[in-house]
Amino acid sequence: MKALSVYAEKCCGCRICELVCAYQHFQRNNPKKAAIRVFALFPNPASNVPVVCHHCGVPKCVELCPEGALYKAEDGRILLTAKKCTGCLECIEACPFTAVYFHSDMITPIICDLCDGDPACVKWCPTKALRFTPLSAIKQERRARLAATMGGTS
Amino acid sequence: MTQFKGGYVGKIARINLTKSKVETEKVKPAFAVKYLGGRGWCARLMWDEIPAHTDPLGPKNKLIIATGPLSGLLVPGAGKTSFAAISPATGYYGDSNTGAMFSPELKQAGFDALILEGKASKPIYLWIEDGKIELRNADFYWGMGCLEVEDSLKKDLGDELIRVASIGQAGENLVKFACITCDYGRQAGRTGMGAVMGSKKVKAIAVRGSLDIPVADPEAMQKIFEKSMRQIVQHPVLDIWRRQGTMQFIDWTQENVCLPTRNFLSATYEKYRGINGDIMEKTAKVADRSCFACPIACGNFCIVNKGPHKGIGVEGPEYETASMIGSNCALPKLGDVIYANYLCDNLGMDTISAGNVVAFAIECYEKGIITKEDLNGIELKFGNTQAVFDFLEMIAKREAVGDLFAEGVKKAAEKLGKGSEKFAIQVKGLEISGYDVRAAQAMGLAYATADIGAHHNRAWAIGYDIEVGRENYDKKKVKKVIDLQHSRPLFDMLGTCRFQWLETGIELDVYARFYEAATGIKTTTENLLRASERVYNLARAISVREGLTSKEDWLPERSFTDPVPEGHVKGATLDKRKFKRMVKTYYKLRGWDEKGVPTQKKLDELGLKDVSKKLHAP
Ligand code: SF4
Ligand code: SF4
Repeated sequence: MKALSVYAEKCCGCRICELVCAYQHFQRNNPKKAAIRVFALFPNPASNVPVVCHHCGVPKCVELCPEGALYKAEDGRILLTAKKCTGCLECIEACPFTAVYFHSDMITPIICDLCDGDPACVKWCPTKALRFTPLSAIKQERRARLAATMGGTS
Repeated sequence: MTQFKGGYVGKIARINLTKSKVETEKVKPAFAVKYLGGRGWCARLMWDEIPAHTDPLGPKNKLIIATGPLSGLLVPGAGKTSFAAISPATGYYGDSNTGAMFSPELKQAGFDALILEGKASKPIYLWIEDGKIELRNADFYWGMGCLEVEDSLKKDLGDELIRVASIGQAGENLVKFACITCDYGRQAGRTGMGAVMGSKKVKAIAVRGSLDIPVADPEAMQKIFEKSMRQIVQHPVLDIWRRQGTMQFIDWTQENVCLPTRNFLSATYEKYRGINGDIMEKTAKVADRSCFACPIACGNFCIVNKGPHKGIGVEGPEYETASMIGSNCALPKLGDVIYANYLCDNLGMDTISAGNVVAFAIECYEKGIITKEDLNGIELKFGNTQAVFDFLEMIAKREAVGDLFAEGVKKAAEKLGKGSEKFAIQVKGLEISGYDVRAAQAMGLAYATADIGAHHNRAWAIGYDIEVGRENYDKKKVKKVIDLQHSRPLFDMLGTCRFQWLETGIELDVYARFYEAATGIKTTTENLLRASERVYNLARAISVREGLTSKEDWLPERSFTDPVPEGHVKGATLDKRKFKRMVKTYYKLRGWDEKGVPTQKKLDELGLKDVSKKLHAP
């Protein structure tokens, strides 16, 4: 199973991920119609942070959706059955990352569906701040970096 | 006439500040296409709406804020916004543009452009959201710095992601080189647009938008974007651009002996390693900053790492700041440059002009033209960092002799006299930016003829000087300057950044394709360049109408009289006679008369018949 992960320290805050997400799902030039949003927080702290669905193993949004509109698919993705959804906003409350998005042009939430296995945001992120990797290798780069600092000889 | 199907939102808001009235106007397709957008729209609106001989800080001047047809779109670097008005620095056509996120937000809020006219009776800010514009009381924010007001508005409006364009104390106090700041540190820096905003008592413009920006052919858009992105991310210069941005040029100008130092007296700086890109990367940079949809991310967010200002952070410095406040004021350390950068950003002053003005004041002080008493007791000398910080505040707050220097070097020199005019490094009242031109004739010509006064961005011709020879005044150089004066500002019209073209090789033609996909209107590169030439001539016509004469297409005396003291171009000065000839050739090649006025023929040819009629009215 593959999962999305974020290296916020690499992110430059360009918002390409937002825009390509909106094109991919709605064919609209509207970064507010994306399942990802980038917070450029300055000056304190100085950081660019993309907020995106983690496709949690035990998803709170699924658990708390009163209509049973959200479910965790076999491949690990959190998916929405649009016709069950009433737009009650419970999922946004439930999500520990607030990574569920709404827009006034639609009733149902905009939730990351991993673009059927080839996420556009990952593909076009110019800094590799977003990754789509097998769970067994998730955050391997950070792990390796930390491991290097723990090395014995140098 | 061809109708556009996207790219443009199709609406301009006219905000009458005197009457607190907002009207929305539909964009006429013929106007949109002929002047493209950004500074092109600004120029046409200025010609039509601002009467001749307008006081730049009076209610008749208008502040026009325009996005371009590609702003906010799926185009690498599509974040530019133009701010334009009759400039209080020069009295002529003025514009300045900024990157970051303001233009995408404004278009998503439903407007391509804003026209701010009249003058509010007390401080206000504008709140713009999804087609609505409110004028709100800003008493509480008046007196704050740019960074503070942005922060406060975000807190008060309860959204960290609204976009804010604001002025600081310098803009409120009508400092002639006050800037407008967006997104914690991207500026429309040049030509005093912040003072125009201050004169209208507009403290800030806060925007949030959620509307679609229409696009004629989204699929085509995606294809062109993907191809350009592949090219940019594989480009060998991307790495250094992302790591250092324009700061990489400190080493380059040092090596090529054109790094302005000590008020343009020297062209190399012995301590350049203390303020260059490498030291920034190693000791100060904490994050990248990018404009909308840009994979280059040339912005550096830096933090002062030692001393009394430890922990202060700013977006920057970039090359122009590091040269004009760093080497040109002889600040020894990057930390000092970062802090000075922070002061300017927060007070709301253009770092280029501010650095130039401070260096000029230092030379005045060292020559005894101004005294310690004039300076409230500060010892304003090259390299005295604390004095530079203090003096920046004195300028922004117009304290003591700071009041005089807040007028810019040209006006200050006129008052001070005693030979100070000779080392006031400006053209038309706009301070020269970060390149020494004593051995760079094309760059000199670019400064002498740039439509807003001395600015590097219109025609960055110094690379060409270095390539073809530092002693040559030939026609090819003149041609090069003219070409650059059309190709580079084209990006300010399209609303996108030029670095993707300049640095990572995206062809101009790609922008024509983007324009077609966005608007549904067929075009060619020639067409776009033609529009840019049209606007260059129109900007000139506006300035001529305000009283510009060919005398002002000239350079400061220092360029001709004080030889470069060191380096491989040691001894170089520009030759007045040869330079004069270059200016004449320039007029000729442009189709301007010997007085530097665009001829009737030229204007007609560019589709500006109505302009030529008025300009050449007997
Ligand atoms: S595309 Fe990548 S670098 Fe750009 S904002 Fe998104 S996560 Fe950050
Ligand atoms: S290259 Fe720099 S200025 Fe240009 S769009 Fe990218 S971040 Fe902005």
